[in-house]
Amino acid sequence: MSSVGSTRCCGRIASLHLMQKGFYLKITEGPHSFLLASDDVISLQNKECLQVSSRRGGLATACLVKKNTRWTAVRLAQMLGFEAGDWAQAAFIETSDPVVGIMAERVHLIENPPTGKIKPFTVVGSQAGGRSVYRGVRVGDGGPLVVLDRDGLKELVETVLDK
Amino acid sequence: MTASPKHAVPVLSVPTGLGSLVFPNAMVCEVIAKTDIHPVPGTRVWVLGYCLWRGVPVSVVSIDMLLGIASTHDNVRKIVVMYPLPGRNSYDYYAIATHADPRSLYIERAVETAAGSTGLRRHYVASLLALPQGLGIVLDFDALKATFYSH
Repeated sequence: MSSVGSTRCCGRIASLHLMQKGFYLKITEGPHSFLLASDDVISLQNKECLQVSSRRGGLATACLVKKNTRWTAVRLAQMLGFEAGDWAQAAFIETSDPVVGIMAERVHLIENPPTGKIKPFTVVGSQAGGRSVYRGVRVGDGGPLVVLDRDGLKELVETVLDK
Repeated sequence: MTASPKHAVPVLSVPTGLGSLVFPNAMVCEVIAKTDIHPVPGTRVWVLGYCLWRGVPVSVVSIDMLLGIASTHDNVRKIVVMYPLPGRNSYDYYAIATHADPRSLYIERAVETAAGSTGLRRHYVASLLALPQGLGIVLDFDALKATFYSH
């Protein structure tokens, strides 16, 4: 399946719905970059379209309220324990149940170049416990990038929100 | 390399700040020169990151930090790539950073000791050996595996 849809808010593109195999979201937070496969249905939202809040412990969250549903995103840098600048976008994984999201400085769509390969990777010593948030490393032009695991990410978001 | 006496075990001796780690040769894939180590956020402090070894991403750890011998590991000189621990995926190689060149040795007879191991986090140590070259540290790989893959 391959489709991209967009909606507008305040005259600007406010969200993108992605369902494109072979594409990745490049998520940049501070000094780190990550990839997230867009085989899943992912909704990108700009900060101005979200309800921003802060939880106990200073955890930054943002909510997207649609009809009777409420999707919550958590700051990726805070979950992984490093410093980053202001966030501008959130990516919600619509195919996870419940829908979870991450907020980051920059999120943009990239095509997996023909030379790029995802190599499986299990990082040792994960701080969060539970399932790893990483599932591989994309090796190709522009240097290696770690690839996030949808289910691991969902578990981490839920753990952080439950605290 | 020392001569190979009968009944001796060939090992790789990997220097730490307090003696040397001793690994049977069969556990070691390759010793490589320092290469780029990419940090992985959300991991323990003793995980330095990952490097690409023959195109394969491999976690790089500081055993010095894991054992409490050092609080940082800035001066990586060599990286010892290890075969996956028993029961792990075939691609779960891991690597140990070291500040000096590892050496091949043959261990014919070794005496257990605790001398000179003050400050060592013993949870990850199976035994300590008094070797002619100094303290030999044999890791407890079950404890290592449990800590590596607690997720």
